[in-house]
Amino acid sequence: MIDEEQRKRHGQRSLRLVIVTVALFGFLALMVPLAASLLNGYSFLRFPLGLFIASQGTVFGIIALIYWATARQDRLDRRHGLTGEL
Amino acid sequence: MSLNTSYPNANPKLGTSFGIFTSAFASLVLMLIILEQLGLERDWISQLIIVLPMLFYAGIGVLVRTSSVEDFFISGQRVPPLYSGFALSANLVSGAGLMGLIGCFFFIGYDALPIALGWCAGLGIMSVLFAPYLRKTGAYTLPGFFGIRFSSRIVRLVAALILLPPVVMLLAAEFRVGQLIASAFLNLDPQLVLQIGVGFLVLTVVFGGMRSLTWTQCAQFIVVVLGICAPLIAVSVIVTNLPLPQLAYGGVLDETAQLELARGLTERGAEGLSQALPGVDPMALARPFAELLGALSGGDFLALTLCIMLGTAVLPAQVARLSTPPTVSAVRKSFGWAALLVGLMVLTIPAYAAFVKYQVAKQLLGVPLIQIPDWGAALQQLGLITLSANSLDPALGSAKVLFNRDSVALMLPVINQFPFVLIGVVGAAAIAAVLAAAGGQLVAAANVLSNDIYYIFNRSASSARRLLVARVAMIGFAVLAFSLANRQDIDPLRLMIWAISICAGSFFAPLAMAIWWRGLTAFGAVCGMAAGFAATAAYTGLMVGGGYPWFGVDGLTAALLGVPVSALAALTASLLSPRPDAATLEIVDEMRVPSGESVHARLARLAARGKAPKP
Repeated sequence: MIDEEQRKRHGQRSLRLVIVTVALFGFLALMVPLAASLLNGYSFLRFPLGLFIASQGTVFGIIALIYWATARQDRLDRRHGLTGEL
Repeated sequence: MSLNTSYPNANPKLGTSFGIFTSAFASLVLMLIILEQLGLERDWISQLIIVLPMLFYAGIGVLVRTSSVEDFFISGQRVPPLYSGFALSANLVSGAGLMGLIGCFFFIGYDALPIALGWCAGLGIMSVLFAPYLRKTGAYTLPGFFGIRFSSRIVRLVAALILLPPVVMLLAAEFRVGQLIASAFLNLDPQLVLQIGVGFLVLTVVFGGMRSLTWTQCAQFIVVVLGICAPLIAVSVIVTNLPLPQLAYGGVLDETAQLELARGLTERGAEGLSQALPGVDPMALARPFAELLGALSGGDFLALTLCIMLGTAVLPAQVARLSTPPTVSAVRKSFGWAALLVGLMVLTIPAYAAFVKYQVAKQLLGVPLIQIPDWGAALQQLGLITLSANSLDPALGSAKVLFNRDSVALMLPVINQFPFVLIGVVGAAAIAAVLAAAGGQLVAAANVLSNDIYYIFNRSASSARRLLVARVAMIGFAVLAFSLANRQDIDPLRLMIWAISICAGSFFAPLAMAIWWRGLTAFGAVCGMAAGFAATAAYTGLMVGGGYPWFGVDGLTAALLGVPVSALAALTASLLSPRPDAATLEIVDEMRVPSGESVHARLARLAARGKAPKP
């Protein structure tokens, strides 16, 4: 069993990570596509830039965010010694 | 359950098996192409390419049959992250979703993005907000989680009863799309096609439950990816000289826009979401492709994204999947793989629609009936489009073309005059997507019925009995969804969105609060789920019946009302009921720690010594 102090600190840090990540997911899926329309004057890979960001950019962003959050959480668990058998 | 992080129990030859499967599928396609050149009849080709893979899936399902409870319900908890990721994406990119979304992109262009973005973001939210904690609980299903979290049979039962209707709706949506696609290839009565399909599906999962499902879903998703990407890459090379359609279709957007202008596809101005989303009836093209917020208002775009996102995060079939990887860390890794695979599909789908639209706008629209290219007649022969002469000037006026939303994907190989086999390959991909998602829903429903409804009343039931109940339940749910899918007026895509919306409305708030708020009580959870379900389902029903929208919320996004209602109900009821006892709070704290034995295992150990109720 791990001590109470460790567990509490781990819980708080996990919660902070989750809040940041969920906010970023919301931002990527809800804000970015609508705001990106402003950039349609520019072009990228022959796409209007706004549409590229809305359709491809957000998807790349979400994938990267999932990997980032996973790596962060795994590191957090390791630092608090909470990996191992289940 | 004690397993360390290196998954010693997983079959080390999995990669080889799926490699063999992939090359077998590829060689089947190549062999049929050769036979087609040698003059094999089309009827034979279409039957072989559709039915042989289905036989193969059923074969996998029967080969890995099992009679152990752990294997049947949670695939023995030893599915490596990559394969779990395949299965998660197969559940999400369902047949109804894949075909419906390609059709939506074809008709309303980038305004179909909310569904795609909702899938990705929902997967992400599930991976950080719910997945690790659900796995740590060790529950088999979503209602099972509630049962353990509150040590309450009533919460478990209520969750189970609320969960079944949307799952059956999702199942019926899959059946309908499968029937539509398979009927285009098999020259049989549509009723019979559906019966055969359902028969194969039940055969695939009935012997091995979750274990059969895991391995067939992997094989099916491989077929989906190959079948959608291979023709698309070929077209991309022909049209743009680049073999990366997901990034290359920008090259045709400019020309498509000019063609659309010339053909009069210039309808703009937002409508309500329900009107803007294409339906199942054959429709003419009216809107330009490369435009965001042309068909939807900003508010509807956000509402639909949010609704799909929250629903995807609590989809019962996905939750049932979470119990299969060996550790919490493996669950997180499987979301990484799932995100890559779903992301690939979500990038591919708009590219697919863009190429179809480009070629249709270039050669099929704006041409009199007698001048349409040969492939136009071929499309009509396959029943993919409806051609009729211009009513004002039949000889010179441009012909009227109507397209079917769910079979837009089949048009690409026909337009490019590829060998007939490649049309079959796209069809096989669609069927694989349908079978994978339908299997996921069927297993999820059967697991819930056996574990969360039957077992809680019959604690002494033997394993054989529990498996028997699950197997009978599979057949029962398949028949139920079959009769729903047989109704004439259903629209698979709308049915799917309604079901996702009901899931979001009933479960999102209670699940988030159950994990992240220690103060939620059993009474609060029951009230939250019941109120959310009632609000979402009633509002959806009201809007289908043609009611007047409240606060401008569309019938497809009823979860926007359901989620706040269920959160409020759960909060109020929790504050009114007595505070949770120490044992429950201990379970919540235990759930947050990603190591050690699962909560379910610990409770079972305590129960064996008579110190806690049996989980």
